[in-house]
Amino acid sequence: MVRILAFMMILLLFVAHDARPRVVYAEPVALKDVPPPRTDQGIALKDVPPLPEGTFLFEGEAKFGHRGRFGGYAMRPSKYGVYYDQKIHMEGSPEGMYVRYHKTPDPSFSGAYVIVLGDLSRFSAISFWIKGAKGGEAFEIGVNDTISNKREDAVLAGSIYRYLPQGITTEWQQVIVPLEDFFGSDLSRIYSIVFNFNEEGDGTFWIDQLRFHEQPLLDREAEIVSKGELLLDNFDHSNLNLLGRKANAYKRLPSVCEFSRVENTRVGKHGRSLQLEFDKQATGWCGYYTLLNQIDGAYFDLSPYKELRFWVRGAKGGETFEIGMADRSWLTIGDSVKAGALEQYLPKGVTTQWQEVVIPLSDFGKLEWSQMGSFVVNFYKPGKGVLFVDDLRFIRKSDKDLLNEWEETK
Amino acid sequence: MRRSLLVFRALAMAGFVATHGLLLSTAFAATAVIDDFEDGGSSKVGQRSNTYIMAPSRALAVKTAEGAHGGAKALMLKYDKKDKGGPYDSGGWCGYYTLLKTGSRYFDATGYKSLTLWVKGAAGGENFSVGLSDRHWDEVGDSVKSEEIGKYLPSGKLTAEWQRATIPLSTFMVEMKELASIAICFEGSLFPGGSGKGTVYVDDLSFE
Repeated sequence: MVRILAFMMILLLFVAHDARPRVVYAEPVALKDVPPPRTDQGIALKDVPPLPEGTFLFEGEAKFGHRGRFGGYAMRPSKYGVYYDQKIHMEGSPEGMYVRYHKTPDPSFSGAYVIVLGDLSRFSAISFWIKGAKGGEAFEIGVNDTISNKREDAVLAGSIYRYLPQGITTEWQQVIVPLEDFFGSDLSRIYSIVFNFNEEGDGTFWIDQLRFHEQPLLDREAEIVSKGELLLDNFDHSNLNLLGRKANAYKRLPSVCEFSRVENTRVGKHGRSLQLEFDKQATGWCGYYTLLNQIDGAYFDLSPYKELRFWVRGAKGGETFEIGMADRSWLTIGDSVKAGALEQYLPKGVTTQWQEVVIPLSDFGKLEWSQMGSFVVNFYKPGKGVLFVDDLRFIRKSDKDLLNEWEETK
Repeated sequence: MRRSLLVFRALAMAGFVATHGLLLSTAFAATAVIDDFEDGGSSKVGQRSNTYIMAPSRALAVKTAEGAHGGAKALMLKYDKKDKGGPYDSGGWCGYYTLLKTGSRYFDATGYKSLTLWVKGAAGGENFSVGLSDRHWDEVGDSVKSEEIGKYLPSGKLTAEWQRATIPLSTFMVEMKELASIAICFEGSLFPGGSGKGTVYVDDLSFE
């Protein structure tokens, strides 16, 4: 569960004159007062249209929330510090936003935010520049609309690494975040942009030049086409996958499965891998899923893809499982189509060494590939163990693949 | 004792102000290019495109450098519309779509009068119609179709040469303020006997 803005809401209560929330409406604005949109460069926060007339605000939100106000939230022992820094900022700016955090293991939490109080419905993306004191600082980015702000539950789009794959460095880098990544938010009523410190440790970074763009600015599909693959998850920095979708373990007692992301076992030099600790009994079921679709949103089009690939190893070797995929129909009934036992793709089975599993999507049969919902690791044989998974990706069909497929199909 | 550091400042908005760029608004530009089908994955409005199919009909979309109209590439669409099998034994359906909406944000085309595209067939005589969907049609997964493409071409039909099709937006009874997608539709009614197979090329899809 995402826990956001608890501290901020406490402050809201402090500034309210009595405990009962009062209805305050945003002041109307004439369209002629709204500046024209600017492409590429975007517009500054001060030029963003205000909240629509009649937007419901608690009295505390209205009094506390001033556009551009910068703040944070924390549950001890996690901590944060935020202020406008006149020493470190980008050229042309009078000051940048300084953010410092200390994040301890859950359930303690902390984060920072900047208040928007604006209508972002005409914009496609936000951008800002960021640099760290040491590099490697991390957070999840999210937004609160005027509803989610009241229930302290921001919509998170994922880790900063989703937008800066090499991470924050000590040099200024521009971050572009498509607003569609904040699926489910009412973009016409955005209260704040949230930086949630989800990774344990300490960090200091600066943010400057927050801009709002009508143009999408990012072409993610081009990147996928260029690389020839979609990296669904590397399990490095967030429990959300790299599409910004949710992932979790599933279980029916007495069978159980727990997931975590671990640093000490992984493919490559950096990051983490997925750890699945399972105990499959004779009854019940257990496993792990990661979503391709947005909950109550669009399904994912996997029809341009031909293969599923990931790396796997076991704590002891001999662990077994099967891989499932669910389209919208299978998702509706809460099940998936299985490609078959893992040994079909790893003849020697799971060992303590990393091995790559390659599964042709055709092995899942006739799914509705343009309407896909989830990827599943299902433990189907009684037994317990620990499994590690990393770098889950889908390989795209080339134009040659597509033309051959066309010619071969009658 | 709370040890969190908290420093609030009344904001100087200038902190966010950056140099202003050239004032442009696609919403009021004379032409809004939706896709020129050059390299890149998404359309010019940043959205995805693909074929839509219901078996046994099928379609294939790839970008090709073969005789592109403008720039280096055009869209090549292969279609195979069947007249039997599939739902209601009507042969299924096939076509191509490009999304205009971004998340829940629809495309406002109220400033435009027509939808234009350059088209040609591999052999000549191929056929399709153009579909346009607004919020309502998007929710039901369908679109309002134009007449066959030949009606909007100078020669009255698809040939093996590039021609510019101009489709008045008044053709489509949809809410222009909330457009969701454009489709190239290979409907059974466009082909003798309800089935047709061929290859068409499309380039420079725009609102004007």
